Amino acid sequence: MLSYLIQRVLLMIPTLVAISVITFVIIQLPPGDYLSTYIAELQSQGENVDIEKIEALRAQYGLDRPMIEQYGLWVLGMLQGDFGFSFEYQLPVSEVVGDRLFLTLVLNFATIIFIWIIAFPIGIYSATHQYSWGDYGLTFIGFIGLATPNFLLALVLLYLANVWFGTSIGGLMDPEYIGQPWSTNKVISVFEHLWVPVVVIGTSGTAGMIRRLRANMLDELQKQYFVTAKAKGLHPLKALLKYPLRASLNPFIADIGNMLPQIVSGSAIVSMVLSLPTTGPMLISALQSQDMYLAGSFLIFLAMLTVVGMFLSDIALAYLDPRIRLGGSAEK
Amino acid sequence: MFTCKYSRKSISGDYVRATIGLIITAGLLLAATQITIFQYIFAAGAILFFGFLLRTFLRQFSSFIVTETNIERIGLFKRSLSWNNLNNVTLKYFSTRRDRKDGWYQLTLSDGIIKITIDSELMGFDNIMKICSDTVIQKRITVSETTSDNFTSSGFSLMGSGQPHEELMDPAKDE
Repeated sequence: MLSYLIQRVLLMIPTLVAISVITFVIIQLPPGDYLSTYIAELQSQGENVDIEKIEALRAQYGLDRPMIEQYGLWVLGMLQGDFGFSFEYQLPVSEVVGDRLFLTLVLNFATIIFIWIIAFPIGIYSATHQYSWGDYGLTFIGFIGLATPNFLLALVLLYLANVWFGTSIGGLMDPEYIGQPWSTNKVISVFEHLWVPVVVIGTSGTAGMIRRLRANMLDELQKQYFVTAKAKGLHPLKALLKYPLRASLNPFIADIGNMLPQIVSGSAIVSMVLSLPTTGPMLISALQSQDMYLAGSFLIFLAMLTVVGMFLSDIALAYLDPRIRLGGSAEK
Repeated sequence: MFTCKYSRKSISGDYVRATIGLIITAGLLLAATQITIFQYIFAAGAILFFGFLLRTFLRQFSSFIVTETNIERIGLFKRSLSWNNLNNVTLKYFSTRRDRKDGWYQLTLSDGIIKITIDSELMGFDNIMKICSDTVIQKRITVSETTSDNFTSSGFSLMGSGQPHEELMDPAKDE
């Protein structure tokens, strides 16, 4: 296993290098840079622009250097723990991101747990009670969940909360705690606000997972090993949980690689609608304003999460289902 | 009786991998000016590669003496396991490719107390596999489905008398 881990880790290095190059090139592709966007913005407001000052800023930020040099400085700085400087916020990237990354992680891990807690029992029930009223009902609810855009659900909840309770459910904490140091009351406030975005973001994910789990379970339940296990007298629940459910989990484990970056970047539109202080809106804003170091840091972090997620899912799959990595039909 | 050692090619390949990984991860760790999530990942990588380097070093100075009665690892950590006491056999297959080609096998033998792990890069691995499959059949050792499949795919069936799978499947042999 150690050799396997080593080879997988070594394969990740060129992958990440390639991703960093592509990320940097894509960020640089639009014409101009942050300062040209800034100049255009000032001119549109009718303000005078001091070209000499702009050139001085361009030299200060290293935007006048060749692209390869800028890339080298960016990557070297990032590897040393310096993510660069955000032009838009006039602060180091690590300070700009601040609590946002942590709150995003809290929100999205809570969403994932919500999805799994709701989807697993329903998915198993639907599969084991195929074509029953319960299955039809849950399938119908699942389709509604899949068909409803998250941002629309967020708008509806905002409206209903305002009309019925006269309150705003936006944000992840009460306004008095924004920008304040962490305290017990702040944590309680976060938990009080957390359920709304969790339900909003989690609805479609739950519906999707119910459908996939049901389909996978139905495949497994018809296989001979399950019929044999039941015929030999194994308790139905034990037979169900130990074999078909385990085999049905493979797609979800394989999905970890996609799930991890979504923890940071996903739910950006919902975050905008609900005024959530997460990283999604910040990433979009950074891309729009060509705040290259902020956007680049986000994108490379997402790529790293994807690669690490794939690595973790491969290892988990190897343990969960040995047929995938450790099984036969291979040549020495 | 025969003696097996890891091939020079596989040992030098592992040294190269361990050194490259250690230089990259430890180098980046030492060059850090701030502690971020990347530094934790580099630290984990450095520990992993250092462990791999140590294991490669141990492998270089280890060899296996296989007799009809036992298998013995000699070198820095000596270990001997009698075929008669063998009660647990696992054969895993690892590959970093999606099509599962160009991988390697890892054979783990245990008598409940002593455990010996061998990779298929060991010269003479096939001979050990042959003795092992015969022992599994003779002693009726229970193995997992994965292990059984892996033995079959490597040319040793655990279903019959320990003969290679192709011979068992050849109808001409019955005539």
